[in-house]
Amino acid sequence: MKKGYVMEVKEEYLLVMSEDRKFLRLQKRRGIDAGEEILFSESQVLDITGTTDRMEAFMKKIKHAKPMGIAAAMVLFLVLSIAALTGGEEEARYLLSFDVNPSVGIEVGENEEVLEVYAANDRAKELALEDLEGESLEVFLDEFLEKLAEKGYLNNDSAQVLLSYADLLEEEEASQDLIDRVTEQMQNYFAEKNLMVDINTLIAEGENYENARLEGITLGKFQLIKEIETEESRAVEGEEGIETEDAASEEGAESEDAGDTEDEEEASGDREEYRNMPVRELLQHPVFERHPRDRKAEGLHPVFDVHPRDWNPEDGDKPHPVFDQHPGNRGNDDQDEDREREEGEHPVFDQHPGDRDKEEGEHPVFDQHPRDRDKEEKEHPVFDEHPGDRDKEEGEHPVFDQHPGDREDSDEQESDDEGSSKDKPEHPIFANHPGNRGNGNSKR
Amino acid sequence: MKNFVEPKRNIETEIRAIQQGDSDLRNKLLAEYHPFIKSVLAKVLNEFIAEDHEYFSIGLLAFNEAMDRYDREKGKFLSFTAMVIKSRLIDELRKRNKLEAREVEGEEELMVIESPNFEKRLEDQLEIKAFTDRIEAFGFDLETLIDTAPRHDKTRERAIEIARALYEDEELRNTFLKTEKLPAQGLKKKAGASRRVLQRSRNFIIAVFFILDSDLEVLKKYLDL
Repeated sequence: MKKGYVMEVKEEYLLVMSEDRKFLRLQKRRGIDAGEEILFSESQVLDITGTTDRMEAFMKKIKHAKPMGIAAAMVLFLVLSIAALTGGEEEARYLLSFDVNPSVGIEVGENEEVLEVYAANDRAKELALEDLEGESLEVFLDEFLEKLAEKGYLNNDSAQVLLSYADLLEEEEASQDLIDRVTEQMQNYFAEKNLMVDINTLIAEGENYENARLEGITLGKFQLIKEIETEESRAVEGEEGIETEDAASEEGAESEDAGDTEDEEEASGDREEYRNMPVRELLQHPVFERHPRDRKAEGLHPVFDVHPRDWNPEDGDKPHPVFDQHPGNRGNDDQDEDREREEGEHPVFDQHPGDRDKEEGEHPVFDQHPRDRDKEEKEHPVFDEHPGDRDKEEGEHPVFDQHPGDREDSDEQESDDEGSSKDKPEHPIFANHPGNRGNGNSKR
Repeated sequence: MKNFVEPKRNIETEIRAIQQGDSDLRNKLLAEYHPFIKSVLAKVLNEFIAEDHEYFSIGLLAFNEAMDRYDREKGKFLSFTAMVIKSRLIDELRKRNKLEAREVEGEEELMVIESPNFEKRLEDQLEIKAFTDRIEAFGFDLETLIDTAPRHDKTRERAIEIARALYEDEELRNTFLKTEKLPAQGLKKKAGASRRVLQRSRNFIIAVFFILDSDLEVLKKYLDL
């Protein structure tokens, strides 16, 4: 039971301010006057806020009304609910994620209300933040931070928040404004509670959202792992680049090949490991020579020394954040000696498919050369059975069930013997052999 | 020449005359305002009131009492009188409820714990009236306040802090009352309130401000909890 103060007595209900500073509508009871203090229970609070609720209250009221009135009200109700549906189905505009551990992702609509809350781990699920769906981002943050603090997630010395955001409309100004406000609200909260919590902000790519969810992590963590991996692969490329080029002999090619697959395995192993690693540790990853946060404070790009957009290839910067050489320039680069040797290099494959084929017996597209597969597993990259085998051993056609040649033979026989070829298709593709068309009928 | 239009009557002036002893006018007014009395009673009782209704006499007595109690400080005579009638009727209902052994269906949960005496209640009601008048000058009433007040405890608490800062800082208070706008910059500096919070919780902040600025002791006590 709570105390409340009656401020006004309406026809249908009481307007009350409660001791917990809420303004409420309460079920009316006779004999209560404005200016009196009352005791009420939660069950007496009328929840008629907003248009839909008022509509429902209205519906209840007209329940006993005349049928015509109900019909009219139904129509009105229908119209209103359609309006509510079409207006209510808002699409996500911003994707935000918070990794404190707990890890939480949220989808935020154009009007900065939280549309969906995604708990990326068990700790997050415990917080039951789904209840806050529909609240404003501001209220969500308040409650979220409060819950984090309650559970003691913010109190330890090393507490950090990885805050990531993606604006699906990619309007830099709007999303920057949003994230500034979010950061401000968080900082204010931490300051108010005397908490030492660092906030690391990361711009994420919205297109990875699905993948992040599939992997059961937040978009921010996904982005972080991605950046670490990019950095690592860059480091690997840099160290081994020269060696690889020198060892382009046959034997060297094999070992290189083996090395590649090993690397791949290692990478996917890392990924798994990263996924299970707390964000706090990821942020300590050696690829970030300095903490990205500090870099950001210095006006530097969190990952790259020079902001990619400022890169100047003439100063010796890599022209592309991922590739050593900008894919567009590959092959056209005649100035560099090394490059000249590799002229005609392919923009996508490390090695030009043509070269691979010739030198290493590799196939430009398939990991294993279809030829080898054929020998070992009798597999074809496309067909279950290698068309070549079929052809030789069973007299089958690689593509068609029956060899077109056979067909023609049998058809010819048929037409000779029985004088009829109407039932069976004569040509592998056309129902009637084109050759027979036109003059076939006149012959018979 | 004869005046075809009667000079506009001012009920407040007439009450003054009645208070000075014009009993004819008193009876005339009482008779004239039967419909008004009935409508006030009907609102509380939710039923049609005829002149032979058991509570009609309560209404008449209350109207008569209101004529004696009224002064200009209490606002409009009729709204003041409505208050008096309602309060008297409620007292009466309560008296009978005690005798009638509670037979109200499932409504008992709502209990009056603190009912000031009649005079005090009237005073409070006038105070509430003054409060609602003030917030209405800012474009909202109690109903909209209920609908727009921050629903989350934390947000509400912050809004109260802001309202308190606004009330306690003389400079901010004066700016607010003069411009009738929440001084965003000053509140940001002194209470760390972001423009957004001010926008979202505007009505609530203003309402709390005027509660702090009123004599509504119960509400002020709630705010201090």
